Amino acid sequence: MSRQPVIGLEVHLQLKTATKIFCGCSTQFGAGPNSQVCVVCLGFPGVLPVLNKKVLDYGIRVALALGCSIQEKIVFHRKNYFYPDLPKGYQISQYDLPLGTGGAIEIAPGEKIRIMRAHLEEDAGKLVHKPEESASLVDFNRGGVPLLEIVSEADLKSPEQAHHYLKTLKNILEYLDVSDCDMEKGSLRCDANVSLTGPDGKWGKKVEIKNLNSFKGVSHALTYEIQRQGRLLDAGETITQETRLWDDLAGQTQPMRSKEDAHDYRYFPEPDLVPFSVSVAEIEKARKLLPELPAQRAQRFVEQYALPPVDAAVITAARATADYYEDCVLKTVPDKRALFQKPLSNWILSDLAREMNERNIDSITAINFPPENLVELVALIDSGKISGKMAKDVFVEALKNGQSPSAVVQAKGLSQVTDPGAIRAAAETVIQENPKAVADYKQGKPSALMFLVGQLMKRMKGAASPPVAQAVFKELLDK
Amino acid sequence: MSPLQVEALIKRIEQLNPKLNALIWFSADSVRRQAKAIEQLSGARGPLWGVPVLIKDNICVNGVPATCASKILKGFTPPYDATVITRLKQAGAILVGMANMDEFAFGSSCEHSCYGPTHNPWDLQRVPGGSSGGSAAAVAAGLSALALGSDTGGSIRQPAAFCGVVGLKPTYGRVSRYGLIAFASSLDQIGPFARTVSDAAALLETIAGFDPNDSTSAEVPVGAYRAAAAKEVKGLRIGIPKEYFADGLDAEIKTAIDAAIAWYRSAGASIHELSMPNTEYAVPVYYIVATAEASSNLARFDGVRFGHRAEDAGTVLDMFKKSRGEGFGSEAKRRIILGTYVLSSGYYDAYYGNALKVRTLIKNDFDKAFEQVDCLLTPTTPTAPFKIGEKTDDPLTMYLSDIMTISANLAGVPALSMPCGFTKSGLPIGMQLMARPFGEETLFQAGGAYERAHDWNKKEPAL
Repeated sequence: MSRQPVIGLEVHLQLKTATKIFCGCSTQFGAGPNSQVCVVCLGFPGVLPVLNKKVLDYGIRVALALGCSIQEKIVFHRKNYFYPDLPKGYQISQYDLPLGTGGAIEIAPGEKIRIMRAHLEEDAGKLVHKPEESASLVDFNRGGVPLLEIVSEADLKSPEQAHHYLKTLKNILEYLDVSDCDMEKGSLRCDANVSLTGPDGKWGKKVEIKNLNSFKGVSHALTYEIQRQGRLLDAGETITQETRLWDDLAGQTQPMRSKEDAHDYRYFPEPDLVPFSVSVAEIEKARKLLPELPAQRAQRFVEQYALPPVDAAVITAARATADYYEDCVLKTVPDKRALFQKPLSNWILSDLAREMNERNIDSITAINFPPENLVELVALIDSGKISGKMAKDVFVEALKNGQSPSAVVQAKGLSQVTDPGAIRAAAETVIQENPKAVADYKQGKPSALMFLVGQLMKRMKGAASPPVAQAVFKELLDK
Repeated sequence: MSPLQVEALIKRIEQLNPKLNALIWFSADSVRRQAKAIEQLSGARGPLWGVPVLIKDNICVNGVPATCASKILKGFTPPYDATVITRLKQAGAILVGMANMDEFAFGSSCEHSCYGPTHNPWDLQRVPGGSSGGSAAAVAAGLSALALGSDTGGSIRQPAAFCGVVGLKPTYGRVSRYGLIAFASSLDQIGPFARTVSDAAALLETIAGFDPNDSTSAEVPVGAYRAAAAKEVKGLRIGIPKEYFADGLDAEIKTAIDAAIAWYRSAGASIHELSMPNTEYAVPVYYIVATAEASSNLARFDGVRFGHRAEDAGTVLDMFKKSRGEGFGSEAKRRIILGTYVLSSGYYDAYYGNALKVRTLIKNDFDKAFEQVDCLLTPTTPTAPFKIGEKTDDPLTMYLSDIMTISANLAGVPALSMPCGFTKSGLPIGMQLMARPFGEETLFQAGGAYERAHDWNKKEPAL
């Protein structure tokens, strides 16, 4: 029996405007508790919200980049519920008229995931529980920070695909430069809806999973939940429509509230904010101002740097990586650029990518190897100072102690010997010590030459240039 | 005010307020301090310089308690000034104190106050009207030259009529709501109380105008209201909507209004009878829209950040329930429950959704009327002030006493109430003038001309 998972994701994106959505308080992360608050974001009696224009600009930018249509009339609604971190007793959000609707993003060639809606809202404060004092404290610094909620259609069919969607979405969002997109700091948060199809192909009862704090958490929680639901159905039980919390440490989801306990949010149009329209001209202007997105940049890399399309796609997926690559090209002396553009890309896609993977680093900028170092490394190979093989060690060493590649080469005496005169003496010694190999070579065995070069390398601690060494042996033995 | 006038005012308040209970916060020292401080104000001295203004207890004044006459806000002192307060301070007005009101402006009698009822200066056994009853009573009794009130469904005009003073509800968006503790955000407006039309005009000129802190305030220039109050009414077209003269209108009030109509005709205005057929729906629509918004606006009083917090709550939910249960009075609870119900899932379309549609119809009635006439003239209230306690057990009858005033809030149009006579037993009668949005000048014109020809406001209550 094949039950197909049906997954939809809700992403909450903190927009990195300098001030909050409805007041002038700073949105800076990490300030002391309740140091970035005012009467407006604290919901004091008598205060009124005033929309931050920048928030709308950012929201429109994202909605357009996700292929959404922009709502003709911008209307905010009140979402009413009681919670200590919600100062007004309602959240100003959008309801039946979200800012953007009907978009899609391509997460792989030909693989499109539809975006149902993207809407603006304000964030709530944060509760800090103090069990030892049997008290809970509220920090309202986050209250009123602008959020854009991006809701996908339930087009995702596996945890891997969900992960891929999130990654692609994050890449696009990073290009737009409207959010830090940092899951750890909570500037990008994700809830998931998951159900399994029945034998008739119909969707089963939907379970919402909250508290997903990392990309991995999303995959793990979905995998767990799909298995949990599958087991229940196998046992002939039914799925309860409910909200569950993901416990990252325990690796499982726990019930949070059932449909019966679900809030009745009593949405109604926010009377303190007058509905307004965004003109077609404004929308078209915003569309023109959209930055280059990953797909467009990949296309440009193919044309401008002659990269293979697959390489270009991988290198442009993350904005930081693509920026790093272009920075490298820019830091290369002009007459070498055409020669270096492919090797630079190769290094990023192989050694740097491996390093990021191994150390579980999210962004290439977190690697202690600035673009000028990579350019230097490629230049060292190009000039024949070091071999490609030596370069790999130089790279590792440079990463380890933070030195530049030339400094590593100098410190370790790794510089490659390319002067035939300097190699000849050692080559003569090798010939004297290996008569058998010499004989084999003279009988036409090409592998004997490689053996001799290997012996030479050993003697010279790998410092000889292999092609020069071969030439020297040929010169000495073919006489 | 001269130092002598200041002391006279303080003395009068200290003497009469115990009888009226119009002021619920008053500091003689604060009044003296302000009277001194305004001497230092730079700039030209406008009409409000040195003039005492009483503030309704739902408008925030930095450092002065604002409680909305509710136990749930006892002890709350706003750390900021409402925009109208900033403007009054800049104009050199003297803030006399805070005025009694129905809790959260929920009421038409000023009886629903945690400080006890305010008494009508014309008959201490009777209500001053509400919810801005304290403001109206104080101005009528000479405890303050001017006062601010707020009007959501008649809360300025009805007490103005009951107390024999002038009260104006401005066009929605004319005066900033920033710092007005919200009852129903789409209906609330702050407005002036005064003894004369031109005094009300001067107060409105000071407080009106666009405010970047209030997205619903309009970027429409403030009119020359005092100048308008000096104009004549020749050629003015006045509409008389027949729905406001239906059964239930007190005969003495009808007589007074008829006399006012006759005067306008004699002064050269033209009188046009017309119909506003959706008027009968105003009360039900109002009690859906207003309570829905109120239920949400009052959610912030949860005991977390300010106001009353229950002592013995075990859980967060318990804290919410107990704090609100103990803090809100019965009328506030009634409206919160009603508003929560009409917004709840499954009922929204039937109640709130339909109410919004009918609200549009009511607004259309006004638009149509103002195609024919410049202003409308009606009674402000169907009856003269009733006795304290007379209607407290019958909320529906109480709600119906707002029948003449509610439509202006639903339509967002400006409306003025001013004295137009007295009953045989000496109780004030008010008439209401309504104009098209931002047509306050028309109201001051019509009101000012009538006032010059009559001496109702020369009479003073015997206290």
